[in-house]
Amino acid sequence: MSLTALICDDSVLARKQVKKSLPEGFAAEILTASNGLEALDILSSQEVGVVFLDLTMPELDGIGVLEAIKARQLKCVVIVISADIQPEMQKRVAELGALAFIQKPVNSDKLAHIMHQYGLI
Amino acid sequence: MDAHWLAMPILQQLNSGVLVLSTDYGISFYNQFIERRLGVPLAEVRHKSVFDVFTDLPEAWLKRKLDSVVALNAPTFSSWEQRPYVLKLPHLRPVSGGSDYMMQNCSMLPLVHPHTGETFICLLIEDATDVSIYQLELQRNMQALQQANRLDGLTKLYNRSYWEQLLQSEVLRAKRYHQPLSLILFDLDKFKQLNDDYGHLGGDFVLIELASFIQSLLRESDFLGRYGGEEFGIILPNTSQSGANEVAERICRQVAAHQLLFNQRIIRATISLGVAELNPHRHQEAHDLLQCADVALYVSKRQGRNRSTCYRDDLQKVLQKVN
Amino acid sequence: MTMLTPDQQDALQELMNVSMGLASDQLARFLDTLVHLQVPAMQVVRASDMPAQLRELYADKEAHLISQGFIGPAGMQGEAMLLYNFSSAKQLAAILGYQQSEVSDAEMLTDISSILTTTFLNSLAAQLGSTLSYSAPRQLNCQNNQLVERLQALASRWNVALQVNIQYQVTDYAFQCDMILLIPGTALQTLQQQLDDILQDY
Repeated sequence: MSLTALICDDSVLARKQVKKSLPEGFAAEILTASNGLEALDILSSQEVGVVFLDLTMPELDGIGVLEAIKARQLKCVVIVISADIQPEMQKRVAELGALAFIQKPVNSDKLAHIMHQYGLI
Repeated sequence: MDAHWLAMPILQQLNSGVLVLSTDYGISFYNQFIERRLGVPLAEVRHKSVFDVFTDLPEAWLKRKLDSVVALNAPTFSSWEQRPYVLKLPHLRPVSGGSDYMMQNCSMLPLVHPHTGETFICLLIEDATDVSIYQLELQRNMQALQQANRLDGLTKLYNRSYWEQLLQSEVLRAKRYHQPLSLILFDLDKFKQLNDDYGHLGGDFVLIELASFIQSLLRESDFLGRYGGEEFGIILPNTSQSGANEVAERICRQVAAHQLLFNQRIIRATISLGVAELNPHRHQEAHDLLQCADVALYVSKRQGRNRSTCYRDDLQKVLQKVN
Repeated sequence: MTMLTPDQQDALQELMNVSMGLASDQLARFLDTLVHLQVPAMQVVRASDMPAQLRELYADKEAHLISQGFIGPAGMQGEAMLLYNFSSAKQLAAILGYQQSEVSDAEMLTDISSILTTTFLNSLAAQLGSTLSYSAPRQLNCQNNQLVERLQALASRWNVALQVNIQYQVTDYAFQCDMILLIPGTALQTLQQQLDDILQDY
């Protein structure tokens, strides 16, 4: 599968955790961004299949990224990975077109289950 | 050494109570500490609801606590200072310190059965009766000390600094709630003469006797204090000037009629009084009210003593005439 | 003064965010209401510098200080303090569903604080692969501007202060409080080791 994945989180640890939790050989390339603006830069310059997106970030937060993806009609799918799991937030994220919502701390079982559910693996 | 066998004997002989409940409040275990004080063998009440076995448990409160231990998988605590005891158990102290029951600190902890995964709640009961007794004694001593700080050593009336604090707060209260407030200042007449005639012991005797006599003429809510050497003050909350004047006139008459027996000699003492009512617009502070009462007292002295005067604005002129 | 490397600081902030998320989820389920906790800022300072920093934050405010000891393996121990500046603990208690006749103000405040502290620290410890036990919470009297004095007395026993500002939202009612974890230098070393282990894992 020649899919490109993007992990967007302001925490180095969180990015590493997601990267390590991804099923092996799932993506051809894994890119990272430490805030929303960086993520949008990458999304506008190359094709990305799936974005793993944190919500609370400096510069531009996850909601901002989702809004921009929707406005620009980008084709990537988004899986939100957040510590902030209040139902209102989950609802908002779903309305903005996110595929799924995963509560931190992320682990490979959780991630594999969700990705399997949505046919990503 | 295999330490496993230690657990049960230590649990039984522990000088703290251990009570283990299931999540539906059934008794699973309690140790000897509780068993002996409760007087009921564990076998008789095992699996019964804790609320049926321990009467007088604060049910709503305890359920809330126990539920939080299970739901949050986190401990919760109860201190004797907030709630004297959780389990009603006798204490073994010779001196009770006012309570017939054991004061307790209680920790409620989540326990998970290592094999079945079932959750239990462990209540650890520490006897805090001793601590509570010391604390109570300390509080009593502090209170006695504070009381002593407020009293005049000779007359046992409020001393000047505390009486002035009271006046300050009564003035604020009267202003806030739009209630009347009056003040009486009085002075023992010819105190120097008394001291010359009967000696300082005689003078002190008169001060002590009059203080307790006048105290007996007042309401509970009035505050009598020793303001200076032979000068006293009475704060009369919720009292208008006319009401305060009646009180002042009565005190003046009764003191004059009161005979004091000192070393087989009869002493007759009189007092002069000044009355003033708080004027919330003109009196910014307690001090302004004190000054008005002082002017009225001065007029009483000038006009021949053994009398009471109410403050009026034209009293200053009266004073000038007398002078 | 930096006591943590940038990587450790990043990892700890992330673990704290996740712990707060887990704690608010647990609290929301328990209270059956919307609870939202966030940790926007966390800093590690010398314990002796802590009182002065908090003095500014709590100047001219009625402060409530609740303290609770904790202890874990490998020298991990300390004191968790919660500092509130809202004048009405009753309002919060009412939102949390406490009956006012049922408990005293002091008990309500220690109860709420203990729940917040233990759920948060339990989550944090679990992520660090550890567990903690707690002493009973106690409210420290800080009327008449005794707050700084109190904090100084507490700080003198420890070397390091982890200062965590918590944004707390329960239904429509929002307030902030500060959690200060006072720990000895040896506990900081343990914490650094645990963070390094986690960083190494990924």
